[in-house]
Amino acid sequence: MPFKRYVEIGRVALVNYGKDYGRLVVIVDVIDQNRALVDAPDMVRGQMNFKRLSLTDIKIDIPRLPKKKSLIAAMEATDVKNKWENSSWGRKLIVQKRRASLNDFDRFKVMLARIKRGGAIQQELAKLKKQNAS
Amino acid sequence: MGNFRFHQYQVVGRALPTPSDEHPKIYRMKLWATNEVRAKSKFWYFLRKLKKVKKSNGQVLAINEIFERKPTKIKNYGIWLRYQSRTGYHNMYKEYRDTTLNGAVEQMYNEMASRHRVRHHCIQIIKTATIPAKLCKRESTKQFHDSKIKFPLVLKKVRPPTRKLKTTYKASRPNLFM
Repeated sequence: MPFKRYVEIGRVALVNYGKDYGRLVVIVDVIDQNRALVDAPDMVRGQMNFKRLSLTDIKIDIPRLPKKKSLIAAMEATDVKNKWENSSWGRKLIVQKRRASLNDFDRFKVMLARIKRGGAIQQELAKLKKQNAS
Repeated sequence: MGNFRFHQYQVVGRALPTPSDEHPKIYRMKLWATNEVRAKSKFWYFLRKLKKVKKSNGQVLAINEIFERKPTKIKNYGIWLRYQSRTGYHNMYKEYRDTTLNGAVEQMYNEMASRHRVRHHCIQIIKTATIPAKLCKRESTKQFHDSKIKFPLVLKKVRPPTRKLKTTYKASRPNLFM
């Protein structure tokens, strides 16, 4: 099975460990076998170990070591933010965050909504069973 | 950037002025040490070997830490060093790719300790320089001189995002395929 996600200049990655956990960064250059120079619109360009990065499918078109302005322009051009939030991985993270930030009343509302949904499913199931039986 | 174990200091010192020599020559040295106290001590150690002056009849005029000018730029560092092995002294030239000189020096100390079992007090840094990409000698640094560099990460090691979430036992084996 060939590899699909490569470490390359312009690859968007998610930080999965450490202080910048959860941030989307762009690989701007490769320092050596273990480290990359990463950049994001709201952080100072810095080095990061590949062990802290999870590569995503998104890749933007930048030359090696772009200026901050051209990096932001390229990210806007390929619409990284929207692509990420519409991808299944990005959506899962948003849902996780939402669930973690619920308060007790919200969780009560979620419980009611689940019961309602379960009731609707059971009704449909009962209808189909009756159809099948007859 | 992070905290480095070895900091680069500039130490300036001279012999104390005597009636026979009112204005002794001032010497400046750039060296690596873990803190300022050690840097001053190293300064006298090296200066003793080069000139006829000791800490007891000399004075340190200034000691400043030198910080990296452009820590966001990747550079190829060449480090010339002299180290003591079990059988004698040897010179070495090593190359490292890093964003800061302190980082490269720390890499060097770690590599010498692992590859040659040389502890840090047996290493003397003769010279360091940033090498332009054309003049690099080692294949392991030259292989990253590629503007269209591309390689896959082969193993996906799943790590808990904080040490608090670490568990000894897992319910299922992890899938390491990227």
